[in-house]
Amino acid sequence: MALPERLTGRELLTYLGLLRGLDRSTVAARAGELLEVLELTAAERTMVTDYSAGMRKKITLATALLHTPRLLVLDEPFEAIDPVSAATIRAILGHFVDAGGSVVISSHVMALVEQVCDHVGVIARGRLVASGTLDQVRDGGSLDDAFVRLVGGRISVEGLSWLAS
Amino acid sequence: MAGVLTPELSGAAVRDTAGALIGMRRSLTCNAPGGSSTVQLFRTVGLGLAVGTLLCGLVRFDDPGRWVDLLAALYLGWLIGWAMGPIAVRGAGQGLRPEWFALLPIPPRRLATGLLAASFVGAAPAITLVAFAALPVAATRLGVLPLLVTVPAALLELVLVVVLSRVVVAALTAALSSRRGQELGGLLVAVVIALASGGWSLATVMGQRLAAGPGPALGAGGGGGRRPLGLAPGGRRPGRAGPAVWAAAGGLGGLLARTMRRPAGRAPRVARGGTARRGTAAAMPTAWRLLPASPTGAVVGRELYAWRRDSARTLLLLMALLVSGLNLAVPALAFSAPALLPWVGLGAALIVSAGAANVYGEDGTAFWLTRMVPGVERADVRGRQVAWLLVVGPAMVVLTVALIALTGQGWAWPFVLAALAAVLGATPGLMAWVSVARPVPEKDPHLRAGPFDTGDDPSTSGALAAHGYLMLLLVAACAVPGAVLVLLGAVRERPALQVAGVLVGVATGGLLYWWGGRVAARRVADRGAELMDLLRLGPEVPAVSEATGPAREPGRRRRDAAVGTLWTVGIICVVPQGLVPVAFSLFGVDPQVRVWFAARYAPQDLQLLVAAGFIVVGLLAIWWAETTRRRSSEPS
Repeated sequence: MALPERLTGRELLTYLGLLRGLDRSTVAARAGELLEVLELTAAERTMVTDYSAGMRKKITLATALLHTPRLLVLDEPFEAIDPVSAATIRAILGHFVDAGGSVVISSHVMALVEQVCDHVGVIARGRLVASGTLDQVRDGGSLDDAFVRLVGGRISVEGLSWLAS
Repeated sequence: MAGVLTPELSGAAVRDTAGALIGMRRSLTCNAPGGSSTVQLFRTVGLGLAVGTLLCGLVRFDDPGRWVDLLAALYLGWLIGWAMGPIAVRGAGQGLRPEWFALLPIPPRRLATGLLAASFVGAAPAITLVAFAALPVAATRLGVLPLLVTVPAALLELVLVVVLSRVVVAALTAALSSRRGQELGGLLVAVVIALASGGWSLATVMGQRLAAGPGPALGAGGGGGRRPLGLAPGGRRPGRAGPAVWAAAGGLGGLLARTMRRPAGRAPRVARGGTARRGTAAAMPTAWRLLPASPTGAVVGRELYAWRRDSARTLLLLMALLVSGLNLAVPALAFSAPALLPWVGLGAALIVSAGAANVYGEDGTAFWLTRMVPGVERADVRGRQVAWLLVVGPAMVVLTVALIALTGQGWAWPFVLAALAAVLGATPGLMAWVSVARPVPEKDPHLRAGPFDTGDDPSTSGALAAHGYLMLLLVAACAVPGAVLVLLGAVRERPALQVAGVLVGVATGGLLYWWGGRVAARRVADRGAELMDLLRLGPEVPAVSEATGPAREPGRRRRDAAVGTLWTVGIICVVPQGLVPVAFSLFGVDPQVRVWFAARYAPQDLQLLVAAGFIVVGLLAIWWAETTRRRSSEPS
């Protein structure tokens, strides 16, 4: 998804803060802290259009956190994120949940889901085919196996025999 | 490593490298979805220029030296075009790239030969060959031997320009992938568009000078009564117009320099403060320190930064000034018609309005951020309007006031004030309304290959052209009531009527500003989800089938492209072939200035009738385009 591409990271956060009716000093303080925590201060004079995929993820997360929401809905939040930033984001989300917030994450990376989620829902062809706590859904196995079973997937390496020759 | 990882190709497989690459290039050309708007523009303009060049080969001159001069200048123009072309269409398809074949065990010389051969496949070499046929065509008058010499010469010239183009691409590949390279390409496209719509004035001036004396037509100064641009032929000075126009040209140059001066990949130094002043008011970016701390102020700041940094917007301003300058200022100076000068600012404002027909589509899916904040729809619309007015308004007012004051065309004040007030007020109003009522989804800004890259779907270009023309006509129509009152006042010599005309212009602008913003804000609030879906998914959600892929309505693209073409034909008939000849007659432009204005070739008494005929035909074409568009947008 696009952002106001000709703004820098700080300007984007300032714009959204003022749009949401926050006062100038609150916006300035929160924008500065978010940029620092998400390690975007070094690039604060770079326009968003020149951000890498990982930086876009981080600044988008910052825009979502700016007004202290109670619910976050994140789509593949760790995609294209380096391990250090991923750990930071996990810590931020943990802190957010500890403070009473809720996070809904959509992801195709089951290992990540197992690591950060306590409740899971599996959607296949637009229908919810399973939901519950992590242990209920994976039913003793791994979440990867449970997912393949639930969506009726088939793992096949028939053919391609020439690869092994 | 490639040799180790990839099995060696057999001799038979590499023997036909050139043939395979030619086939691959042909497949790429055939499978392209019609090309981007930039490529289409270049093809259309190129074909027109090629036919023009070919026709120049048929022109007879008494002095053979002049004939050689003309063809040599045209060939040089084509060579420069081929050298600059890759910069302009960067990212819009440059054919086969050597790096695609880097891992294949093909000897470099064989690969280079194959790539060169493949470079001759496509529309551009074919169009150029049409142009270069001018030399053999011209040589037929001289006999068989010159003809036999000129045919290989023309072919060799084609080889030269194609090779030169490839060398430019190879030399500038790194530079062209930067944003500055993209902006440079956008600048060239802007200049091509401006020349396509206003180059007739320069061509006429040069043609007159070519006919006036011996020697190269492009040389400035010299004896024989020839004079550089800025002085009327025959030494007549159009009042004090020269300095004013050169001042305007200086401003244009400044705008151009501003477009290009930014270091690639960096924003201008506006975000002062940084980490050292984090958490204080000083960490507030400049624009928002000056604007009210409100949702509307937030949007105005966002838009002002976009106007300052987005080269597409800067180029729109530049193009508007160029088009207006070429169509009004150059004829005013060259053909002794200073009465045209007061209208330069108004003309530029009208052209800018044509580029304001799709402000939500231009932002792509960035609209989701606005959707995430409840109740800010009005602020978003009003903020865009205020920013447009803050950026465009002062520039056009200053240009207009300066040109009238410096050229002493005082009679124009009430006319221009009435029309400019209406245009500057109506544009932001209609901008909001048209952009929300008829949005055209464009490629997301961060995915674009250049300032004019709106997407690969040719129907997008057609729809955008139609919307731009629609805006142009609507905004121009808004200026009519006030201007007519002023005209009546002038004819009846009643100043009060002229003052009333100015007030009507101001009221028209103000009313449309308020109404357009109100309707747009309401629509964004009520149908924001639909707008977001449209911007994200396109005009229709295709039914995807695993067997056949997306089921697209087969005729939609063709219809959208046809709508754009009909609008283009309509505008050409209404404006350059209709209104411009009428304006030339009213403002007493030299009857010898005819160029491509068909009505000017008719007998004096019939000129207005012919121009009126063109206006009627143009309006019919526009009506047909809109009927087609409505029919195609109705659910089947």
